[in-house]
Amino acid sequence: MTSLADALAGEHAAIYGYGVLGAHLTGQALNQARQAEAAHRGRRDKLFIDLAGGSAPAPAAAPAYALPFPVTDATTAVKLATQLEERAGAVWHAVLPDVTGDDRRFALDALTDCAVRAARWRRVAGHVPGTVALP
Amino acid sequence: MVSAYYDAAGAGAKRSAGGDAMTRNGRTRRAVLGTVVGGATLAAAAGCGWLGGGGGSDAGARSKPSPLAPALAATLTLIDLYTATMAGQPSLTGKLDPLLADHRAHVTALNAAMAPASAAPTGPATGSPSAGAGVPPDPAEALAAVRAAEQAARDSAVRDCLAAQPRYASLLGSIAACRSCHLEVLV
Repeated sequence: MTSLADALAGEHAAIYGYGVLGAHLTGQALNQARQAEAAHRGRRDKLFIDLAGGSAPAPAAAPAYALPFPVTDATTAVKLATQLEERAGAVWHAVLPDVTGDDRRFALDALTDCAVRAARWRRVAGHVPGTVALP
Repeated sequence: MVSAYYDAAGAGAKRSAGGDAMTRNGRTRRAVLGTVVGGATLAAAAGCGWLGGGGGSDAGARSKPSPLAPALAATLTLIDLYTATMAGQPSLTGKLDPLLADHRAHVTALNAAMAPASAAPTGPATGSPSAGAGVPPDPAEALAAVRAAEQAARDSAVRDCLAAQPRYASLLGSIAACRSCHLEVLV
């Protein structure tokens, strides 16, 4: 299913992004980044297994991803983290109409996790409460 | 080889600041939802007056409620609670008002998904006589009551999303996710 393959590609990209930005964070923010990366890895692994049984090949991770802007400090790291979660949430949002049952539950949980983490990163950046109406 | 995923995959790649990102994300998602909504409008039209008419019995052909009607009713109930709580506990306004704006946006999105553009939007009665009535005198208790209502509404939106036709799953999923975000703020 194309949207699930897109979701897997999105998780690959998010994992790569966290690998880059984590080097610029310390303390609680670094901890937050590590937890987020683990969440993305967990979904990537499940998706990879699920898609491996299908007819279409599961997309593999690229060796590297072009970032939307240079990550040079904690501020740009938090900005990228916010965008990673927004982007990953968007691909999961697109999965929802394509699936039912347990798969929709998984997609909704993923969308929710990304939305919650995006809001946390916005609060780290000083935007309170950091929520958006339609994540 | 460097993948251009971030540049090629759409929304967000060209944002310049956190604040912009938030705003543009909202617009982008609304644009996406607009597409979903557009496809749903005809099918949902039969139920457009159901809530606004207080029962919608004016015409048999228009009496079938939209599948989104319960979600809209729950959102309006939540808005009434927020409004009453802010009236009764002004010290909570700073925390509650931005979240209330999200709920109002949900009403707009739900109405758009349910009704043709010419239909009167169904919204809460602001400044109702009961504003502030029944709000706990202790701010912490009042906040806890809002949080409990938000959690129940989130759970309801999750159930609605899981049971929804494909055309409504995205909107209901976004509403559920937003309410989950609110729960982290309502502490």
